[in-house]
Amino acid sequence: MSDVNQGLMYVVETEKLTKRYGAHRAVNELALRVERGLIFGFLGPNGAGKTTALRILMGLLRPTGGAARVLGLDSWRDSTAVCARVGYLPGDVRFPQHLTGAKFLDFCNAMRGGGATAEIQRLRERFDLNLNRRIRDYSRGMKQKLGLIQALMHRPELLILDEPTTALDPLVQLTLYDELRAVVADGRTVLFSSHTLNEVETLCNHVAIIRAGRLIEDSTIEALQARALRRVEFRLKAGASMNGRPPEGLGGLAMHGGSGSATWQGEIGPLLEWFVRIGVSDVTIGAPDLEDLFTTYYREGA
Amino acid sequence: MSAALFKRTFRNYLLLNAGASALLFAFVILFMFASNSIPLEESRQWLKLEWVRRLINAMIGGDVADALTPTGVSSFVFTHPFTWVLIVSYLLTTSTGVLSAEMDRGTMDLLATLPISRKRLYVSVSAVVLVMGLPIVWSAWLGVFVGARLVGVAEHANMSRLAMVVVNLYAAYVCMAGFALAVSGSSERRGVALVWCFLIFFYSFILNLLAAFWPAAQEISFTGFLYYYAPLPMVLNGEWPTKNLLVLVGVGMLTWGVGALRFCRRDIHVT
Repeated sequence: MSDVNQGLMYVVETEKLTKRYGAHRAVNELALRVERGLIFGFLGPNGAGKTTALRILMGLLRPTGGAARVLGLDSWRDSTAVCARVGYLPGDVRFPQHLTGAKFLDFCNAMRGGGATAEIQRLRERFDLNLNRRIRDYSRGMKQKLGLIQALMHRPELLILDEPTTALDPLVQLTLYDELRAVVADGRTVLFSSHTLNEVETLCNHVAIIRAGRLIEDSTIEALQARALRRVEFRLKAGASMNGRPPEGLGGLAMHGGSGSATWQGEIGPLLEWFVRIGVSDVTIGAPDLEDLFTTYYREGA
Repeated sequence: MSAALFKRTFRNYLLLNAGASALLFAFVILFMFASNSIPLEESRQWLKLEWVRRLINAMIGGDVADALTPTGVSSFVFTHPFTWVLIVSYLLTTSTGVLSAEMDRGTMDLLATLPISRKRLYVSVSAVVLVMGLPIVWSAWLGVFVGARLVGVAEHANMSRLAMVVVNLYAAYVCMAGFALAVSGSSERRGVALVWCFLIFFYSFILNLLAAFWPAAQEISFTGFLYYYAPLPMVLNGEWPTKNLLVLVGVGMLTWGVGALRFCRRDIHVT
């Protein structure tokens, strides 16, 4: 890994980044900061501007306004230097169909100055991909694996992956997760877009949510979980009653005989104290439901 | 220039190039046999028809009456519609295939995110298109060389003067390639690039043809690239058409340069 810009705190930094197509703003004054050494999830509904933002970072699109810096470099002006240090997987990855997987990776390796043969071999084994077949004969999942290998093979400082788990089976997804964890363990950074909330929750340290081209959330997973709702079910002890005011954070309380259900937002300490006070014989507190939170973000203003 | 990209692009079109060159070579040999089998008197009879004479004059850039020598007749092959259709088809396939087709297929996403500047990318694929034009145009010359020997007119065929025609043909190829690469580099869709290239080439061919019959078209015939391609005077006089070569190469480089600027500054969209 290059030592250049090791001291740089943000590997991706955008300021008022805007991309207009006529009157439509695909990306609207986006302010995004990605710290080094994180797995950073980039979420948003379809058409929110995720892919456009990632393509600007890779120098494929020229910003209409604002600035984007990747590894301290201007994403448009210095795009060649950016591409040398970044691994990129497009959302809809397509390859020259007549080449074999091996020939395609050889070409990418040659274009990057060589030296990745051993890593290609390691990744080929990890992803269990036959590189001797022509790409036209690959399944969609195999093509995705090939795209991932070409993004990872030169051990880039930053990986930008647009929906990387598309078409991958669950086992390969786990392999990819391991690889991404190894990347960040090595001090490198992963920025990826996804629609799979479970994946984001288990993999990411940090999440940004974009809607209509604007950043609407930028937070750690822990902070989001603290704000997410938990589903709560409980059974009152015989003779117990709901005396006193329920703690703040409890919502949607509904009683059916001696059983109750509600949602809870925040630290669970006050909730447990309240249960002790009113006397319950059984309690189930679900994990924070990020899906609800994300759905709210996706829907607001839609 | 990127050697790796040059090699990959070269390999992609090697088979097509070899096929097109072989086809032109075979056609020229057949043409040599065919033209040699027509009695001279019969040819003269045909040329008495004014429209035939004008048509051929427009194609070869001189008076066909002066051209009924083995070298002159051989030069017809460099203006024959089959030769042009083959060269233009080949050029359109390759020049639109290396840029707009990469965008059309979506493979440009990976290519443009490898550490190579857009300028180097454009130069590398352009170099392939230019280099691969050489076997095509020289295959016609080689066809005359071999054909003349097979039909027994080798001693009368002036191959060095026909080589001058090849240079003029290649200059026309450079002109067309410059335009085609510029259009290709500016288009997201290969179909759009093909249509634009076809229109501009078609314009030149039609204008050249009309100019033979219609004075008004003759007035503007200089706007078509075929105006600067005249094999017969070279064959008859052995003089280099310096002005024509400069115009063809100059226009080719100019349009190519505009294409380079456009390609380097444009967005590459998801197609």
